[in-house]
Amino acid sequence: MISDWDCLERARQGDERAWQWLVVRHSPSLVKTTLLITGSLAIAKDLTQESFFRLLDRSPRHRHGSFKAYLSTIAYRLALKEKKRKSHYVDLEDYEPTDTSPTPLEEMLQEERQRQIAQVIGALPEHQRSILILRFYGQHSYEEIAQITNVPLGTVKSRLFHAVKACRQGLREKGILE
Amino acid sequence: MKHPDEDTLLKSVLALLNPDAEAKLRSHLSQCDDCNRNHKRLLQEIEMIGSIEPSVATNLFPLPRRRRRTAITWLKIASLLIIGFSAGHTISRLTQPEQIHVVPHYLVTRTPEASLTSMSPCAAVDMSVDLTWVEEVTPR
Repeated sequence: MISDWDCLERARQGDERAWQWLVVRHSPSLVKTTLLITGSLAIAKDLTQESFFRLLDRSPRHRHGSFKAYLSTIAYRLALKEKKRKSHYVDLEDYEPTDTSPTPLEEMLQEERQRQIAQVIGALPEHQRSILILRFYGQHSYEEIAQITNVPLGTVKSRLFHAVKACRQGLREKGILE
Repeated sequence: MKHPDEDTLLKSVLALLNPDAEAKLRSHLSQCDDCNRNHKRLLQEIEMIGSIEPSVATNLFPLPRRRRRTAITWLKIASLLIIGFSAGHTISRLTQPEQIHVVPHYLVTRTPEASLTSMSPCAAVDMSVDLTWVEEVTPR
């Protein structure tokens, strides 16, 4: 079976089918991960596309390790950069100190329960939230998360444990968990 | 083995226990219904945390053409850099900085007949002149 790295090499040589295969295979989890980090579907789609384009620009000699983790590292860093950039600008007309309006992500979710889970995840500290998202929504192993976030493996495990505990506490306060 | 606490069960669900501890826990779970029930409950809660499913349609986009930087692009960048540096160097040479003049308070010659009484203030000294035969004396 042809590997993702081989597909990428073919795409570099202009093979449209290999490119589409990579996009279909990897873009859903990338969109989901970047959506949960940035909170905006439009931005998440742009970042996913940009991640694939940057992948093409990277050195063709890099072929070791997990392809998925490599691609997610690009997307994750772009998402964090975008989030940081957005947090520097606040539209004064929209700004309200006690703004409780739903985020674009919460508006997308049909079920009230899912919206509440999104709120609880959104309320986590940044360093815990991104690891929880990469684990539960990116389906990455702990080793891959350590590679993507550039954090030691032990720290990844500890942060995930505390993130899950905080989530359970938040869901309990909302009455979703007993 | 005594009943594991909730943190241990949670670590097991998250695959955070080391293999020995996990094996002991599994052995206990096979004998203890209460702990087994709690373990399953935690598993369901974890699944719930990861259950957000935004309806995201797969976004296809075509393979970009000629996106990679070719050797010609790199040559263009290099030539632009060289032109920029040369221009900067030329401009810096044309606009020479003003010459600095140092005004020592007193000068004394090394000649043996010179004495302190012969010291006198002197005018500005152009540093471009060879002054290796004089030394500065700070007045008291």
